Amino acid sequence: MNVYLFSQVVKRLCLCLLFSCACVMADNADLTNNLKPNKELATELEQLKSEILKLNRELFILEEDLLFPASTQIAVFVSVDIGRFFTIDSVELKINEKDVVGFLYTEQQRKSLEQGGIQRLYLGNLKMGTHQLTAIFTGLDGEGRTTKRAITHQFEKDDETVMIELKIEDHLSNYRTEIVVEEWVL
Amino acid sequence: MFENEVNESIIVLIKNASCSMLLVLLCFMSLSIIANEKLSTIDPDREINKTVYDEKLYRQALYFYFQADYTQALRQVSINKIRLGSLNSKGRLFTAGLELAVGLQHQARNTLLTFQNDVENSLVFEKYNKRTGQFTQQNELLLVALLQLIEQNIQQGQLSQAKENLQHIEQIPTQYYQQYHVLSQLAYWPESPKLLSPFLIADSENQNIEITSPYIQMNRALRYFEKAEYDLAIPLLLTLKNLHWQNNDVSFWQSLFNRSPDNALSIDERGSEGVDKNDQRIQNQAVNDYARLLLAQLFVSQENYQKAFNELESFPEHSPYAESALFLFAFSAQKIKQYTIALNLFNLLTKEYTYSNLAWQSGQLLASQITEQKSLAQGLALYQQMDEFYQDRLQSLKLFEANYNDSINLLAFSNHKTNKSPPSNIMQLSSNEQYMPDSKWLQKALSDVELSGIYHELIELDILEEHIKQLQKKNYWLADTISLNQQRKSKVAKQQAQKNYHEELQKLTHSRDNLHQQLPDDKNVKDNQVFADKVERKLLTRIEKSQSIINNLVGHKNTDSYQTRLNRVDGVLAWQLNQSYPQRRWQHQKQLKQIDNLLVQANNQLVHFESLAKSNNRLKLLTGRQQSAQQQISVLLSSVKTLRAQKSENIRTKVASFVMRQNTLLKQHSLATKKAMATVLEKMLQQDKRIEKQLVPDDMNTVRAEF
Repeated sequence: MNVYLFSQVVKRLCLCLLFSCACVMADNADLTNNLKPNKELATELEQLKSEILKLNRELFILEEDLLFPASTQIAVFVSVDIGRFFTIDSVELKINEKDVVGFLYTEQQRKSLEQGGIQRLYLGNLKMGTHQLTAIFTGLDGEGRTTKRAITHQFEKDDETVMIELKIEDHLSNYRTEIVVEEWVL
Repeated sequence: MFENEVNESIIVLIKNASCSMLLVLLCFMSLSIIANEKLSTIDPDREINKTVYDEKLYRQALYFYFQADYTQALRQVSINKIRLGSLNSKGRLFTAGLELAVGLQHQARNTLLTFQNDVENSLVFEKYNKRTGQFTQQNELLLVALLQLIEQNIQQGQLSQAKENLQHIEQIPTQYYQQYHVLSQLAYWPESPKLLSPFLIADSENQNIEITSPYIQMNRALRYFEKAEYDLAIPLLLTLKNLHWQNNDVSFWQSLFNRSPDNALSIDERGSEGVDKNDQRIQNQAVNDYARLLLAQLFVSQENYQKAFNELESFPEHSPYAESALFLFAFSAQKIKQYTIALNLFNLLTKEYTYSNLAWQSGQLLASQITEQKSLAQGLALYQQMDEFYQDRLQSLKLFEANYNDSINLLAFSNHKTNKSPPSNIMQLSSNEQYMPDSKWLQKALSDVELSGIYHELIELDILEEHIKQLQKKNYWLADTISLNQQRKSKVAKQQAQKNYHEELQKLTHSRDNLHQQLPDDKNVKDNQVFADKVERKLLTRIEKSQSIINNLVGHKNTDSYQTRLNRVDGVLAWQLNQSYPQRRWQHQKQLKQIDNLLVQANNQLVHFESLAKSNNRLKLLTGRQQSAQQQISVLLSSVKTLRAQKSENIRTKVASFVMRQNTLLKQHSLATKKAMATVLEKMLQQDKRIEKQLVPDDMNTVRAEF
């Protein structure tokens, strides 16, 4: 901010005060005549952005409604609590013993999780009934060794969306990380 | 030019940094606000097992935000709003921050004003205020958001909007005073803004904020300069030119402000101050250099050229103000008769900064000096050279104008490709990229903030067009998917028509009823043979056969022994069957129940399937939505094209105006040069006459006249 503002101050004031003898000041009168249309156009640009954003959202929801109706939808999320004892590197997700998704994290994605973000890892369809979810996380432990953490969870799918959060939680008591499963109850 | 380049790069840096700060600030600070809200509104017993869904949704948006994918974050927030019905204060503030990040200022302003009303009206906030008597976190958050909005307003030349937003600030803590002060000065210049008095936040991490920061002092010096109060300006500038300061008193939140999407992860590496050391050095140097330049200008205004000369003697070569300092130094040198230095410097200016107004001015000063110091002939030659130079510039300007007018795409004047283009999967709504043309004339024209702003909008329009095209692709894909779904549905419906599932189901129900009938109604009636397994059934059959044989043998043979043995076997088997009867009966009942459930499920599925097969509503609705999206896409694409054409027209007008001004200026220089040449020629003529007069005596002239 400061450098920019400073340069702005310099630009404006320097032009006004310095080198008056040089007669280099541009006449801004003609520019200000066009100020209003430019403002209007800037507002139009904003409106356009807003419309595009709305369209983007609508298509996103349409896609979800089409491919993953609520009655069959299952969503799996990943979150990280602190991440001191486990640096997440990748995750594999299985549902009913079948691989459904694998994800390799970039540094930025990992940091996003550690800073409180929740990632939607998987969105899919499931029939009603009892199912089993298995998640295998690979990463580095506190001493930089490659380590794996896995969890299995049984859940019931009814005609409502199932949302399951896999929480990577640090435990200070044993300096280990555990995967905790939370089924979102709405 | 160099100054412009530096300034432009600084603007890019700042634009990147500033938006993200607000968002991070919103993310973190607002956690506590909501915590307070939650404490006061949620009944812990009732809600103990319920997921805090709004928090989960908010954190999904954060995931995108921390990856600098503001469009997806904003989309997620927008979806959250639909799912939750409305957003809470934190969500609204976060939205405002994201809106600012993608350049939706108007919306962000409305969101902030709504939040401000919430702060004013909310009982939770009032209680908190009264209890602590402090500047609350939500107020601080709002202030940061407003300052960010004002900064964007100023960047885009919307000064009246900036002034209006400044009026929404009611209190200003010390750590934000510097930013507030400079923004106010910029918004109100040349008038003096009415500034609020800063105050300390009681629990602030930064208690020792020096409100007389270098920027504020510089601003004061400029104001004194403007009012010709040089005695007050000089001490300030003398302090500033040697001042070295550290930004170590930046608050945690302010340090986050310095994060940009491009280096979002580097904050940990920067240390607690959150300020790049290089950035700190640049800021220090810029303030020192500018103070020195201003001081020199002040001395020139007082006609104290020696002091100005001394001041600029050791001015850094690579400063962004080098061009201006060089001119002023040369001018001062000329005035104090350091002609050799002045000559060399003017020469350097004309060679190094061929597109600079100062360099054009220097050319004339240089020629004038040569004329005075060396000879009229040399002066004339230099004037001629300068005139040729102006003509050359005019020619170059004409060529640029022609090329510019012929160009269809106004962004085609640059081969510069940004290295920091986002991944292809990120659909952008805005860009921090500044247009960097290869043409020097266009670079000069873009030093006009407004023109530069419109060019930036042109870049954004191209980004938007790309965004819409990606949405269009997605929409086509959705249309294909819907069509495939329809085909699949009709195929399944055909299959269903070929097989009578109702009849099948009825058969199954009948079989089930038969099984049910086999089960004795009364628990006590132990028809234990009902649940006999295969082996037991074989045994039972054998016993029956044996009994029949024994019956046939009765009268022919003594069968008592056989009968006894058979009775024994029969008794053992009956005992076994009796023992297992309750368990088998229970299993049988259980299986029947399972069959019942399966039959109900099958029946439901059949009904559901039939209703789905009969109604085309869902796919029809989806098709309708997809088609509506397609229409919107067409409208938006057309709007982008129209807007781009209008923007291009505005740019053309502005560039034409710039060309005209430069043309006039160059012609004025050329005319002035020609006049100076005429004066030199006149002087030369007079000199020639004088020489001639000296060479030919007066009496000879008289003789010539008589002759």
